[in-house]
Amino acid sequence: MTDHDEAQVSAPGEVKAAVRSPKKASSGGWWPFFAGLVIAVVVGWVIWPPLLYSQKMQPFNFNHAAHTELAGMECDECHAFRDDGSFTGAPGLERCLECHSWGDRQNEDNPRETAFLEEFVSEDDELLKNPPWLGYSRQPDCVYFSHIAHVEKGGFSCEECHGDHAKTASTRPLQQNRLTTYSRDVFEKMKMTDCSACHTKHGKPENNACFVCHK
Amino acid sequence: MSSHGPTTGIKYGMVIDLDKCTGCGTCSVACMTENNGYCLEDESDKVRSITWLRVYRLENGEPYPNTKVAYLPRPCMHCDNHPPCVSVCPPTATTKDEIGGIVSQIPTRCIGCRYCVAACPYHARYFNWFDPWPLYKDHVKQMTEGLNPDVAPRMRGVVEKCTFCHHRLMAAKERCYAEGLDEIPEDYYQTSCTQACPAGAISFGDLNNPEHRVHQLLKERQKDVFRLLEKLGTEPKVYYMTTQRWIRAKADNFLDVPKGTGY
Amino acid sequence: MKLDRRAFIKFAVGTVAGVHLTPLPWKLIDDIAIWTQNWPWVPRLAKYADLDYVNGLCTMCEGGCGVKVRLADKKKSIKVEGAEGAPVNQGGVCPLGAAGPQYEYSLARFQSPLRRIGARGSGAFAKITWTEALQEVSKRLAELREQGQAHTVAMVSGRRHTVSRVLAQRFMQAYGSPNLIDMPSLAASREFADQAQFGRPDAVGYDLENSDFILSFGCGLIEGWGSPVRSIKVFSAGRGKKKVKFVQIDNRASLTASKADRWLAVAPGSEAALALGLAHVIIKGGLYDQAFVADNTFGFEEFKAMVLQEYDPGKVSALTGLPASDIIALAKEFAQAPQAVAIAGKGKGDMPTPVYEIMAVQALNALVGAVNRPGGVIVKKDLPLADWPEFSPDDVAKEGLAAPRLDQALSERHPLSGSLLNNFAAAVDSGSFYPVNLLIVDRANPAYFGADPAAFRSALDKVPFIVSVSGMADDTSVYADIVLPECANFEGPVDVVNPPTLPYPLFGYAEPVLAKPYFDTKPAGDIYIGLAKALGESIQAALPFKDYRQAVMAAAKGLLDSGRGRIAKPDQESDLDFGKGQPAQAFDSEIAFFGALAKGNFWFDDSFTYGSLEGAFQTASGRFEFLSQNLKAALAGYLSSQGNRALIELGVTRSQEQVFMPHYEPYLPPAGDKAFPLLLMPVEQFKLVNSSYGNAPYLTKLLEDITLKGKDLVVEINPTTAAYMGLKEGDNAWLQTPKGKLAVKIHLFHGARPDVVYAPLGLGHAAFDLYLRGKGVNPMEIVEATADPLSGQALWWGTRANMTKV
Repeated sequence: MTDHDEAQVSAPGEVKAAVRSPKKASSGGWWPFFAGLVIAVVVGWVIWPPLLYSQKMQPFNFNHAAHTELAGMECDECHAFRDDGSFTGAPGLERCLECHSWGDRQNEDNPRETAFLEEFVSEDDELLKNPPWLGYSRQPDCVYFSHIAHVEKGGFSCEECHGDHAKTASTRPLQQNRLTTYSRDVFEKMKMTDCSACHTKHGKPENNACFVCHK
Repeated sequence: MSSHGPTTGIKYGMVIDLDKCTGCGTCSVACMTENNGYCLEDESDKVRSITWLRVYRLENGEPYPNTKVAYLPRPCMHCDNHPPCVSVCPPTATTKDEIGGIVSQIPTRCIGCRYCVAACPYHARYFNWFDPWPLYKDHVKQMTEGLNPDVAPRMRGVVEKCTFCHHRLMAAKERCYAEGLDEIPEDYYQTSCTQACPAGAISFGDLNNPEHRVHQLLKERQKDVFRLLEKLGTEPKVYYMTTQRWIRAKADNFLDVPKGTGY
Repeated sequence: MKLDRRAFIKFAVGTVAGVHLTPLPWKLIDDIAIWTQNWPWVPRLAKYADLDYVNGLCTMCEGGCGVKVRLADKKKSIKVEGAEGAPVNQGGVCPLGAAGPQYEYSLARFQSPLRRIGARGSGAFAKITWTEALQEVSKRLAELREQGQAHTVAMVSGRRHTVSRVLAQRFMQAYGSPNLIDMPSLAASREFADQAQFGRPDAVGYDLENSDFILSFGCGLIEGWGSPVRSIKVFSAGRGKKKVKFVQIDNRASLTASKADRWLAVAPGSEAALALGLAHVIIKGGLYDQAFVADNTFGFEEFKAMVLQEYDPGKVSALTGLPASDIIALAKEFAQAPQAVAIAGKGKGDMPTPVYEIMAVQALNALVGAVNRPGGVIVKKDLPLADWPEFSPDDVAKEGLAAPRLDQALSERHPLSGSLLNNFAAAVDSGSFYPVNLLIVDRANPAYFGADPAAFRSALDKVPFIVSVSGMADDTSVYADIVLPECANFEGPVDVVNPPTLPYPLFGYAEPVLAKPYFDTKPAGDIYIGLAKALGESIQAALPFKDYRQAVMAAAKGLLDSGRGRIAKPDQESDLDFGKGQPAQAFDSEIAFFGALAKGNFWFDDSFTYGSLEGAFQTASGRFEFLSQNLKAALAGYLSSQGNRALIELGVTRSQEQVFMPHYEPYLPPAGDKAFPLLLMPVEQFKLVNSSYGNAPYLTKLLEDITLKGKDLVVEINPTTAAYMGLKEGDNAWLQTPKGKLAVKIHLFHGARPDVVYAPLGLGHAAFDLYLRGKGVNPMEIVEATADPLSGQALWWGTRANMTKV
């Protein structure tokens, strides 16, 4: 059960108690109590959560949809496995250059492509630089996550975990927890309990051994 | 999967030929570069010094000129039968629950009680008394440039130990998935020390697999094989071999080496 | 409405209650728990797009190991492993090589060219650019040349077995100074002995892989001797299916002695006597290879007469302390083993060994016909490197080169000794000859290593300008006025030429593994080429190369042209491994050949027929010389000009023909000194680096606490000696010699010979980083050197000493 559920269940009970309490109050009534309660609830639910996370924009507002839908590309054309089975993650500039370059543009009128080329490619090859992509789902250093184990061995499709990321037209900001610096996505979808619940659900309890995920 | 009893199926283990070992320490250095080992300013205090693979010096104690020295590399024994560290760990930061029987150590889960350090009969566990990589010291940043991205750096206040280069097992698994193999070939998963040893004294593999060198060695040289403190019944998965009787005796203080048995 | 106290409390209670209805406290607890697992000062792992293994060449020593470097994004080395297909190490690596990345990120590294701003030795430098640094050095060099002082420029070099050393030599020649001084080492002694007996320096290697009996005269075979990984591999192979008998002659229970099948504990310094004693038994018993001796040796009768007369087992037994019966048994065993070899050169090879001792051991090999025999001494084929374009020194250079060397090497007195560092230091210090106006220290650390580092430091004071071409802030570099930092192992092109003890010629080359040096540093070869360029046409003509790479390629072209040899291909993708290799001839173009060679690869020529002795000996007699005519001819001038005094000056106690034959010369001080009843012997350890690199932190970490404890050096002493001296385990004591005293700690070790103190070499640095500086003491500060008879090389194997409890 998540923190979220707990709060929803217990809240109505508290409200009932509050309705009864003014009768017993000797003076001044219980409004300060309610005021405090309401303020705290608002702070806790509305004001504080966004404060907990810092937001970082990707170095470039990438259009996944244009690549998957217009150009008809598959996820693994850019997010590929190396020969040794490791996962490349976000592609390097080299991959981008295979289709986009000063001499070989896909669309002269596309301001985003122009912006991309200006920032990372430039006319001089010496000035090429890799976009410093931010990973939404990067696990902490003490955790392994093997993409190939889930994709090749487990038979998962990309969408099952990443949702409709491939269909988004612009990148969302990366939200990082200010205390731990981990991504919000990791916290909300891929904590240890999520991993083990999924392993159990798919009949792989042996993968809940500590060292399967931890390093 | 919480049984800590003997491993069936794949059982990763090591065989170390003490007659071949020259005590050069390459295994230890290769271990540290692979597993992000660090150096304190004073490493001569061997109680504080962290060496997952420590090379112990043995002396036969005979007077000159019959004195002999030898070296004995000591990784974690990855005890097969109820590892003493596992049974005492309060937060389950160390377990033996994975296929292959490697005894895990999760520093981020460790509470630093050091019960396991006390329980381990092989001194294979080390407590971080100091910050391994105190980035608040100016010089440390440069020293961290060569960190292996596959192994997590530890922090002060936790225990660490040899993992049989577990990250290499994970990499081997990924390679097998990529190549469509069901079984991990012997040479896909070798520990860093095994690979580095210039004398070829260390062998590593699946003890239960007749095709692996470790299995064959144990069979071929049955007479010379022993493990440390066998009497404790911890069934270490690290085996040693020697034809030298005195080394055999030094390696086990419970052992009453029968005279004239060919050791 | 007023907010009274009661209302306020209600408000506070309300907020506390309310906060618990939100995720805030639970989430915070969780986050804080995670935060404590990842203190901000714990480094986060870098994410690399590209992780790969790239082949390279390890140049931490001269062993010639091929390695593969785990490389992150082409700019950082993360790990060094042995390359499987490399001919010398065949996949192995040593602790020094494995610690490679730590040298790249070493805190002791120079990060850019520097100019000294503080006092000499203080290590206070200011950063300058390469242009400024090269300009400043070349300006000084040019000035000295103009003043006709070219000969007052000297270079001390710690390089061997590399093309860089040849470049440096050519630079000195073209500049016009004879004073290129090599650091003392076993290699120098070997070169001398090989010249005497085989007719050329660095003539032989050992076919150890095929030996069935290895008789080692104090060689630290598994402690860094020869090409260290190869030696270890030979040892461990002999402990596997193939049974090889190892016999170690040593005065201490070294690791090699302990691991050998048999350890013969001899009196220090008596190795040559033992070798000749064995020769006595072999000759007397007719156990020698009569055909070989008759057809392929010179001076056997003289040698026989001397050995039979002077080295009978009884006498040798008295000198060595071994029972005569053991000597006889060993001689028989050695003579009868079909593939036996005797090897000489004590320790791991940083210190010179007496040349008569090496010659005596080689004589043993010749006696049993172990020359060019399987498992024996192999006379190496030549390495067909192409000559660089010829140049002729200009008039200034000719004048400079005509000046006598300051170290008296290659002189009438020491015609076959390449360099004599001790003499050099003394000459500079006393200033009695001519001064040194500029000293280039080329990857050497003479202010730390050598028989008398203090004398060298004192000599440094007399030199107005010092240039260091070292990558590390070693004990000598901190005295430099200008530092021209050399780049680290994998940052520049590197090569290796004929590693020591290898029986066949080998050349290895590797392009830089890293895309660019981690710090602003350059390959040493480029530095000399740059200086030559700045000094004008006549000097540049000697080094007419764009860069070091081009210089290597020009030399390596000869390998292809020779039509000999193979390329080893230590390449992961290649299915060719060592043993197969690819014939060098098969490369149809230079580009293809260099392309294959440049990937941390090796050219080698092991096509060799055992038994063939054609052209093996380049001596006057064309044979192996028990009685060296080469030596006789070289010394003739000195002997005739100095008369009887000559031999005394050279430290030779024999006369006539015996001078040119291997014989026993005591080189250790005699026992019986009341003030100094002990003998101090320095010990080389594999885990202690004496070169200008110093120990990487991981290597220092490997040291046992019976070598270094806290900041104290620990010395070994036999328990009986200790009891006699009133010393106990762990005591702090003064180790005293006539030259000075050092504070040490005591370790009682049964394997230490009674009455000897063994002190490890390699600690006690005044420089390097916080992991090494100020740890332990340097025994070389208090050793007393004796000059090796004949070669004049300083020997510091034993010094009279005393120990007193603090």
